[in-house]
Amino acid sequence: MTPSLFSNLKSLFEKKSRREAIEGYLLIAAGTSVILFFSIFVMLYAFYLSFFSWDFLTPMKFVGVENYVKVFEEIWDGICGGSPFRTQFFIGIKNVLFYTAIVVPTQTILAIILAVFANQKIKGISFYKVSYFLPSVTCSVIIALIFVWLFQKEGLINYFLSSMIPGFAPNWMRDVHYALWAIMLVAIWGTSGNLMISFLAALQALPQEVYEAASIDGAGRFKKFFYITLPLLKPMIGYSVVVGTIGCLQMFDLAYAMPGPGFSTTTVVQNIYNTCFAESKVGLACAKSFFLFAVIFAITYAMRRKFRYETT
Amino acid sequence: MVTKMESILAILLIIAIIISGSGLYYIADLDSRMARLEEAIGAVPAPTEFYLRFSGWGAGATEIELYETMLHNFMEENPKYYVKYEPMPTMYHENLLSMFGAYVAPDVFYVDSMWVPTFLEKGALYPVEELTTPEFIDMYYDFLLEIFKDAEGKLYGLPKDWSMLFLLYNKKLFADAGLTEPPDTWAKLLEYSEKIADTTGKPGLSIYTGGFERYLPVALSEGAPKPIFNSAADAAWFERTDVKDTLKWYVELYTKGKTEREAARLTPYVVSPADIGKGWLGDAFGSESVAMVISGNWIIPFLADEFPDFEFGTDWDIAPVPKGSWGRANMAFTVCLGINRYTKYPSAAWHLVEYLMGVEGQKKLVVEMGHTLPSIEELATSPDLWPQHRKTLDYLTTPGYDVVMAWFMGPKSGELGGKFSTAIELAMLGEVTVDDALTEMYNAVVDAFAE
Amino acid sequence: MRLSFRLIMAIVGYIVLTVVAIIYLMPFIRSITASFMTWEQAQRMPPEWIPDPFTTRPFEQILGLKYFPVWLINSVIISASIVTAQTILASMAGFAFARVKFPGREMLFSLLLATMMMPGIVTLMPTYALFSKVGLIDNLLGIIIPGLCGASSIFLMRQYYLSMPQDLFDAARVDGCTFLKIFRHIAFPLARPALGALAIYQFLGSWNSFLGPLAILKSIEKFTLPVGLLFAFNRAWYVEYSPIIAGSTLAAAPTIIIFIIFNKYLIKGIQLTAGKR
Repeated sequence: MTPSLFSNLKSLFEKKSRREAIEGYLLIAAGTSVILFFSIFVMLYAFYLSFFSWDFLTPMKFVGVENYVKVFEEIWDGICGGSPFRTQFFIGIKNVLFYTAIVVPTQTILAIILAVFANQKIKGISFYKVSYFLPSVTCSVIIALIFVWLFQKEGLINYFLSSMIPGFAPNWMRDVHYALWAIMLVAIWGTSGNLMISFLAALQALPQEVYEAASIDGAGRFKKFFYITLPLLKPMIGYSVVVGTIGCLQMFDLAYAMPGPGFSTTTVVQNIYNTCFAESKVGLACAKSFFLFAVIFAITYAMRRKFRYETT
Repeated sequence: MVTKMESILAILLIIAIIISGSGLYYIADLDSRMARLEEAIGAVPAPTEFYLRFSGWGAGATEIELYETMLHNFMEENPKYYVKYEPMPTMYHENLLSMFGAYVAPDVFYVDSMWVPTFLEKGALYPVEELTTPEFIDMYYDFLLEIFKDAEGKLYGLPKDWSMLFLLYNKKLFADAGLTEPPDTWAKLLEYSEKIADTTGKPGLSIYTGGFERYLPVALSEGAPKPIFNSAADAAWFERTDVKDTLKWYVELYTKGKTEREAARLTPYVVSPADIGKGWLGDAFGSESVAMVISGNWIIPFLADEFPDFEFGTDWDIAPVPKGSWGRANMAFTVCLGINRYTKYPSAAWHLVEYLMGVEGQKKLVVEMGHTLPSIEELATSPDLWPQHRKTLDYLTTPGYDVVMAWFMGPKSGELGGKFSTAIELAMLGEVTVDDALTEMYNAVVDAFAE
Repeated sequence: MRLSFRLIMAIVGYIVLTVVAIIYLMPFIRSITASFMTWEQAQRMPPEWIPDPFTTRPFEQILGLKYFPVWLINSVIISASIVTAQTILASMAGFAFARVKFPGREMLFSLLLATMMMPGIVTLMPTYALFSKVGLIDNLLGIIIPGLCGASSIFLMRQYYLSMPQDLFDAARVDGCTFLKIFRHIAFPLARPALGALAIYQFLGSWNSFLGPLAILKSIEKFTLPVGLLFAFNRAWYVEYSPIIAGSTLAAAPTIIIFIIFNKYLIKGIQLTAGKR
């Protein structure tokens, strides 16, 4: 990165490159400034706000790091098993981590399995592609509104489930033990098809020579899958796990539209949203959002090291 | 090179540009466009001098229609006014407060009795005494006015109407279960619910999981004082034995009536509306899915509107809230029409408020249209009052309530109400024990006054 | 032996794929059929799939709600503006990041990519605070302005321009064309497939977005379809659920139709960006 910056600076003295540079800046100006303003600049503003106590209405009051102290106190209180009313942020983190731990592996594995099945000469493959992709193009709130109905005690899902597992008919959205699971099912339903298309594309791009060489060596199909296909898919798996994790940790729409009883489906972002827009504690909400940012950053960073896939 | 798909895309893009271009025009001038749109369909005359925005939570199509009719009439009588009705989404009060910060709060809006202190603290309400005469204020029930005053006794809003709780029971289901009379005590309520479930196969009673204000009549009727929290020390209310016992009884309505019964594969005798796929109590009762609910006057126009074949008197009837060992208790719910402290037109806003909740307004909206109970004392005797509402009012004298608590718990009412209800909900769902729920509620009061 | 294994895999494959396809499609089929049923029939268990009697009442109910058309118009305005702006701004920037040399290019691009990792809530709250000072709260522009360009769109366009042969641009450069001209006459028209993918992505993203509109749009006639429908549902405007289902079906219809027509572009977009970040 640095050498190219340096050489570009040097070449600025050449007239032609200078003109090129100006044109380049002109081309990127509008788009880049919008993005940088509504990400970097507003983030700095949020950081500034996180040191204040402010309710949108009355004047701002500087409170130093008090908001951050409150965030850590709440988390500590939560770890020590404090009252759920005082530790909703912690509950949100806990719910979301659990949710991520279930949803991300399930949707990834499901997508790989489906992609492997689809990666043969199958007639009507575009029909399957379209039907798998459909859930991910539909608005999650609208999906949630439909699933609230399907998840009723006497609803369609329980009808099928109880015909497979007799007597199993939980009242999904009214039961603290099932509400989050219902949301997980919807999330997996919504994203695995999308992921499957990506994996199918990756599978089809794999070099055939490796497989031929392996066949000569007498490797079986399952051996080939585990020793060749999966390692070759590793960058793709890493990418989908990281992107899926970032998405899951920020889950909001589904939890907002399919609320379970009590705090059973509270998510971090929901708690931050409520802190900011319902309780009007802007500074505290900003501090919480930076904490979430840090968590996401740390997890993503750790995963990137684990999967070691290239950045661009 | 240019395929069919691509030309379709190009056409779509052009359409998109045209739409967004006209869209920008639409946004730039949205308010008056809306007005013109409504004008075009003959809804209102063109706006002239006073443009007011009016907001409420608009619970249900019935209430929205009633208000739209009233505002339509208002604008017809007052051609200088244009009033835009903006019912608002969930978390009404929270959203409203955040709108103040963004300078987009409406000029006139509902404020629930519970939230008045919070709005006063943020300086959001206009002192209405400056806009009207003492004679006008005197028309309203004193016990309702008290809620809308600040510490110095200054008045910030007038009650638009009020409601009480009462028991609604389904006569057909009662007859099927061999019952002739509505239950008069809490013990009978429980007994009847069970009996109805066993004989008719339908739950006897529907309650909300949560709902601190629905539990309070039970506590008060067993001798607990009104829970008013002015300091952390007042949290002691939750340490009273009568409170503990009644809360346990109330929570067990659900844990025993729903959870345990279902575990034993019996018809539950208590359910929440959501358990049977209904939006709220009115829905559960009107669809005859349950035999009894305890609800307020707002349920009456809803039942008349949505379930016209389910007739008052023949199919269902109302009865007073059951009594406890100490006496009979009830809750009074009220909402004021607040005026935005920063409104451009305070006196125009007052004019609208006066229209909606003055004698004439309440006569139409509350009395004739059967919305709720009038907050102006003299209208209580109006011959046009719906018989259902009349009956609930009559219970004030016979059998009479030993205590009627206005739904208000002191300066932290808004935040405490929600927390208490969540605690009860968690206890009903078996997530926490009743004792834990009591501790949570105790702590919530202490926390509220700690800051 | 080999052949039979292949056959078994194909048969198992068909069965698995079909069963999963049915699971994926079930909610759509269910809600579409239920939109034409009476609520009583839609609630019946075992489920019935043929509306009898056939009714359009749920649609009449939701369309009879005077706000529904307004929400639809709002959603269309927001999506159309965002799609238009993004295709133009992102393809300009993507072209420059791919083919024009200027100092700080790599650094700026990395910075843009880094912004993609930022949680939406981190930027939503300060944006709200800023907008509240300039009157963009409760205003459709408050949704449109932050959506005018996106880092992921620039990334997609850059990937596409990188995949095009360099000679194409070099020839024009030799003829003395400026980059602005090259963009207008060569790069932009040739990028149709990627622009198609981008337009569809952005349409889906803006049509389906929820958190931003929920926070920024306050009054009922500024709502977008998802916010409005959820509002109608939460406020229990209907005793029956079928108008909400019919409304959801209507709200989802544009995305589904566009996807079915243009799914090749979308899948192309995935192939362009997948695993390359």
